Amino acid sequence: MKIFSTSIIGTFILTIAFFGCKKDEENPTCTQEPGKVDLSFTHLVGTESFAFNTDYTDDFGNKYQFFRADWYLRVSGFVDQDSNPQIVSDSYYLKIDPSVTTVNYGEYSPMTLYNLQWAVGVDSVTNHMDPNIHELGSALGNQSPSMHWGWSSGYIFCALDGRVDINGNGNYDPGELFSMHIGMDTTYREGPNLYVNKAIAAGETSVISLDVDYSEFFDGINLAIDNSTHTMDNMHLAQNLANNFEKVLKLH
Amino acid sequence: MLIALFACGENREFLQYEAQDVSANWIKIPDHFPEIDFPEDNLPSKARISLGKQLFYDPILSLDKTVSCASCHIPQYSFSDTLALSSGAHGGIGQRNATALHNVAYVPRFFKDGGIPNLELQIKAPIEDQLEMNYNMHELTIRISRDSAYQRMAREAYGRDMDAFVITRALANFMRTFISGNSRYDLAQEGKYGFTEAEKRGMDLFFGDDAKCSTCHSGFNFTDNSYANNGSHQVYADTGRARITLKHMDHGKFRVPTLRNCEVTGPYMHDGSYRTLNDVLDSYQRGGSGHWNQDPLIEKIVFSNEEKEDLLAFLKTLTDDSFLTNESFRK
Repeated sequence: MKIFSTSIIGTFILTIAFFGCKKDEENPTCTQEPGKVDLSFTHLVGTESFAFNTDYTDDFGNKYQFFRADWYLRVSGFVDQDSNPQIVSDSYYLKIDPSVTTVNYGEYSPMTLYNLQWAVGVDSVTNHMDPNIHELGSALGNQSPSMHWGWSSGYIFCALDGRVDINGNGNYDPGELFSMHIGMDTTYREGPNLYVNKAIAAGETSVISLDVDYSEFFDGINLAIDNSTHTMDNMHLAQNLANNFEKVLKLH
Repeated sequence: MLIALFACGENREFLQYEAQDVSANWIKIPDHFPEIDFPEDNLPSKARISLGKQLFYDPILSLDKTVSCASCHIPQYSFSDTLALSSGAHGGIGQRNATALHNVAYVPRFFKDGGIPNLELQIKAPIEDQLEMNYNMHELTIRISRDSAYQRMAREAYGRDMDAFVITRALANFMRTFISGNSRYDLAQEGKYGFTEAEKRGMDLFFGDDAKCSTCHSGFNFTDNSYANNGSHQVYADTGRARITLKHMDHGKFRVPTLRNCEVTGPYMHDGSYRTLNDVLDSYQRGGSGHWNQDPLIEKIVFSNEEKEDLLAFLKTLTDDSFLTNESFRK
């Protein structure tokens, strides 16, 4: 079981929305109990549950299996229906893999959260900071397998490795592999806001359920032909994958 | 407005720690060298340098515990080695010639393509390179944390447990002590050494307008730290700086190396394909390979065998024997 890792580096999460906080007559401080917010992830490949070493089929009929699926999710916060910030969490990063199911996003005053803002990757400032400053287990700290380029400063935003039946003979012959390691600032992608419309109730846990569809990483990509990029060595394929990032996360 | 404070990923305990003996004075800098721009979180101290030295020679950093930093960065070769491409853990062969580490404290960007912006961050690369130490910083942190001696040294040096921060900072701290500035050339600048006639002629060539060596190999460290395609190859399998910038104009460019101690840092060029200094001078004499992106400064140079010998004689005055034999750098 992989250790879930999370990191909140910016230290402050700012809740802009000011909700009815009842004050005690004798104690004028706010006594409103906060509510907890969890993010729940269901990992899928299309409509099937995600599993390593299990056959799936790409858009072009090629059979493939994953043996690695790691990526960075940035949850930038929530905005209301008028795009006013409700929660700002610019530095909230999760290193996601299929073992990550539920993550605590923090505690907030009761309110209704509307639109979740998110991205795949690491923003251009954080991307070039030193991962060694982070504690073991932190999302932006060192990972095993590594999520950091060796030859350049920067994170690997997404590492997808596996087998693909390139010649279509029904087997995974030696060398029939795919390896998609995407990084560099130009491949960072923000996704469309997800309308969650979820109330935070005092003293309770609100769960925002999300689906991760790993097949979407390969949308429109023929794995029998385009099956290897470490970004700089095949920027065209890297950009194609990055352009699919926005489809990967959906509401459950 | 609610401001929620969340657990911070950085080690807060360290931020409050004040090491007792931290001082730039731990590193002896020659008078004619500039000050070192130390990172704020990694000023030198005796404990930090000691820990870095211990790590530098310890093969615990590699997956199979066979390769240490010193396997490829050997003091007597100015912390390079004698191979074109070095051997790593599990028989891996590196892709670039091992860089000499003298005066690494002054290097603005790391690797021959400048892909890494600082020394502390550079440490991670060889540890995780499959062809070098073939390990992983996360796993290394777990492994090395089990060592009580390292834990004690880490707390003494950085006031925290052994972790990736300590590993990278301590190694960088030790490497910044690799100051080489006591060659015959340096002594001559102070009037403590008199050049031979051949060395003088070689120096004139080096700094003169014909050879133009000092156009790129300039300054106290004999490098301007720029990136250049010197026409060493007709075809560059390694695209050099272009790998980082993705710019066509950077194809085949590599960081101009310091020439200090060049007598002992061969083989030369990014891939170690030039065995001797003679080979290097021959290439410049030919005017390079004529690669399409070759720097226009590289032109055919007409010099006699005697002039070439003079130039070699001068280059050898850049050898700092006191640095190469310095016991404090050794295990």
